[in-house]
Amino acid sequence: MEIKWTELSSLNDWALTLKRMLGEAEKAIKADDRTAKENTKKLLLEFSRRAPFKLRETAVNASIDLSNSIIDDAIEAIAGRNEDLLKLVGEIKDTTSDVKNAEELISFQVKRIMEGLDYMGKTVVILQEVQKDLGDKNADLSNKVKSVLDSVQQLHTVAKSFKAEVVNAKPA
Amino acid sequence: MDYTKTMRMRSPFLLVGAWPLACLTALALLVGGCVSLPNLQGFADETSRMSLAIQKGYVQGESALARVDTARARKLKRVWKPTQDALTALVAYSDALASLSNKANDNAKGAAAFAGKFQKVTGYLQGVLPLSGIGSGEVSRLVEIAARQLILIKAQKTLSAAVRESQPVMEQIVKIIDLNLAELAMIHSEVMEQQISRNWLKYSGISAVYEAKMDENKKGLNELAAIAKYRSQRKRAFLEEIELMAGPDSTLTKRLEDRERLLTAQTRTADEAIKGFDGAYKDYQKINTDLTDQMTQGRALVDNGRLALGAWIRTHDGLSESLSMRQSFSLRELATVVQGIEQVYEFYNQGPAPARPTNIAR
Repeated sequence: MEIKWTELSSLNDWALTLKRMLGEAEKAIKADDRTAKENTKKLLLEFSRRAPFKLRETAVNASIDLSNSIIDDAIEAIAGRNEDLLKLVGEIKDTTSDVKNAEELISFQVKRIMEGLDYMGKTVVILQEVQKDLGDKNADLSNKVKSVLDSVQQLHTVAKSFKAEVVNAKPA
Repeated sequence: MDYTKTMRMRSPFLLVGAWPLACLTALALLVGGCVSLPNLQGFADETSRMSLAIQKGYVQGESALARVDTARARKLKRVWKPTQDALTALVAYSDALASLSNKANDNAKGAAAFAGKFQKVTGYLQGVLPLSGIGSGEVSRLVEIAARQLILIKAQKTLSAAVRESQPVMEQIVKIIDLNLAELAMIHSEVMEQQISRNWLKYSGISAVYEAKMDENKKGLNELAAIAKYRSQRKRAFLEEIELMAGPDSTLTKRLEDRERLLTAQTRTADEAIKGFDGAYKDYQKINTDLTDQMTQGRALVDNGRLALGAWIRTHDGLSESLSMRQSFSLRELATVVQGIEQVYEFYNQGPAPARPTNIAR
């Protein structure tokens, strides 16, 4: 819509122009045409600055109606993207959980290695005792050997998992 | 029967106990160069600051809307929640990366203690099971290297995969947040324009009269000053200035006196009118200035938030490359842009502005 502001002189000229603008505003809202709404709103605001006092309020109110319609469009546009956004956020939350789990896993593995070393230490001490006992043919020999085997068994388990870690760990 | 020998030959310890050591040695030798993880705490901190700064921009927009339309403000708050959740998810994600990196680095530092413990055990071992050719000190060093590398490699693999695989998802998230921020900027501008228009309409009668009277007064005073100068210096240039051109001197003097009386009366009337409208006009100007400032601030906050998101996704991409290529990465762009948002916010909150929201720190 083109307006030649300098050609508007009488109150009637201004009133007719305002009427045309209101028609354009109504069309823009019905067509849900955001660009047309913005353009008509700008014209109405310019009109309100230039027009006789009596017509200003109508122009300002019409521009505010268009402005509210533009705000509604913006809110709807945000809402329209929310489903996709929530889905993507879910994916990032999963990745975050994976990273947290990896952190816990590393802590757990370090703990396991330390435990393995403890078992290994205990086993060695028992083995030393067994060596000594074997020389004396002690009656508790079988029980002690059993303890050794239990400890070594535990060590075996830890060592197996540790081996798997070592084998699987390669730089990314 | 030599039980000692039998035990030594059959003990699973001999079978099991030897190869973890061999594996450690192999790993230590295989890895060779040290894996090091970048410090991701800075990235996590900047992500948190960016999220907070963007949220401040949002609060500014929502508060402005709530002042003119509470129903629409509630609706905006409801639809904005997933965007806020997305920003929170970015913070949680970057915190998790930093936490894993910190933990791995800390554990790697603790590898010396681990190796010390191992040395103690191998010391025992050598008393029972001779480990030919390897002293416990050497074993300890190998264990320390292997343990450190094992921890760092695992963390690096996890971080590298997480960052690389999430990059396309992050790009989509950032794009949506950016579009939503553009909508927010539009909403904020509309709200502020509505308020500026309402303010203008409310004061348009007063301001028109006030500005006309000010103009009239200024012109009258200029003319009076020119008459006074003419009287003292009798210069033709002043006559031109007051638009009273040639004629007989006596007529000119009379005309000057008449003009002077008229102007004095007019400026007095204008002065009174100005004084009457002065308070209202100043109110109008103050509100208008505040609203314009808020509109500028809202726009600047949102624009900077969008710039920060762009810098964030580029930094994330750089981080992905850094983890896979084992290179350093730069936070400079992100840190600078985030600081920019904070400065905009601080700048506009320094001066008195009663209409501005006070509940920013939600």
